[in-house]
Amino acid sequence: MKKLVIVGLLAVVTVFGAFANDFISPAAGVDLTAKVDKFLDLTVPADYTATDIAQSAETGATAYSWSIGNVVVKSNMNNWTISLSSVNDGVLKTTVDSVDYTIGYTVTLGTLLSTPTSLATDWTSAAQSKTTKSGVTNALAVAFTSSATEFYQAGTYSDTITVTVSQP
Amino acid sequence: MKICQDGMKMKKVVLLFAFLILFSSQAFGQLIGRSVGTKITATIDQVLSISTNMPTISPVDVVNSSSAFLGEVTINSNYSGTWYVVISSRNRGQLRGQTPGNSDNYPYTFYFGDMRDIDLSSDAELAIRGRSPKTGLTYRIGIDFTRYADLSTPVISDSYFDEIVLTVMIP
Repeated sequence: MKKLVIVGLLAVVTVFGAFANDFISPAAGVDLTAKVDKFLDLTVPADYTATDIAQSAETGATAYSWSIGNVVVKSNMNNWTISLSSVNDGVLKTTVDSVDYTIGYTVTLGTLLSTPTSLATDWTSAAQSKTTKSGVTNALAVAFTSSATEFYQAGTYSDTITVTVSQP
Repeated sequence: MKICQDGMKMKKVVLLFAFLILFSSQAFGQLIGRSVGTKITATIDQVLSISTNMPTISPVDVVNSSSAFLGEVTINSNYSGTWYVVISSRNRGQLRGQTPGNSDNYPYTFYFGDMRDIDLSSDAELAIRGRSPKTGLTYRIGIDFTRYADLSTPVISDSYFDEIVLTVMIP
């Protein structure tokens, strides 16, 4: 009789021990997902009309510099680029009596393009980093110097500069 | 048996996940861009001017000379087409006697730069094409005439005068 009692007690203790481990450390996981949309925004200056050319007052070469306005880019992506292109391949143009007359100019774009550059060919910046929420601001400017000896043909000259930001 | 069923279930989940990755990568491969243009306009005003160093009154020696240099005219123009210098004479290309009753006239012709023998019996229009340099185009102007001693029809002694006006114009 004594033998039987001891075996029963040991079996009970063993069973409860096995179940005890399962109840001490259960585990479960939850997956969290958030989507951040790509954002690339561009603001360019309004159309610009120059008012300071007075050829009749010029006695020689005269330098002109026009501050067109600020170009602002906002991007939450790295590796975006900004490009400048000209409809007239880098010249202001007018047509008088079916003849085209041009004024060549150069552009600068803040720190992105600090060397005056002709838009005879399109220009593209190096890849840029994600911007702050206020964006990256660069001033667009146009410059040219009139001839020391020759007048420009009278007329209204124009060109359109297209600013493009892109991210592959 | 329980283990075998779980194994089958695991395979299904893995395949679905791979498909999602592939689809999303294609969407991310597209170029994102924005383009905006700004137009720049500048007006070059017309430049058209004439100036001269001629004195208001130029004496003409008809006794000792057959020509009188009147001065220089400088014209500035930024018009590439054809513009005109119009020369008009008050007395229709003749020096007219000033004394009342003297109807004699002393004829002459006008010269403008290299253009000579310009008859001012009516307005003369000289066509000039092209922009001038910023320093302008300068023309020597004057009159040619027959010496008094060589006139076929002499004129009485008097002062003879005319008034000449030069105008530049773009049609």
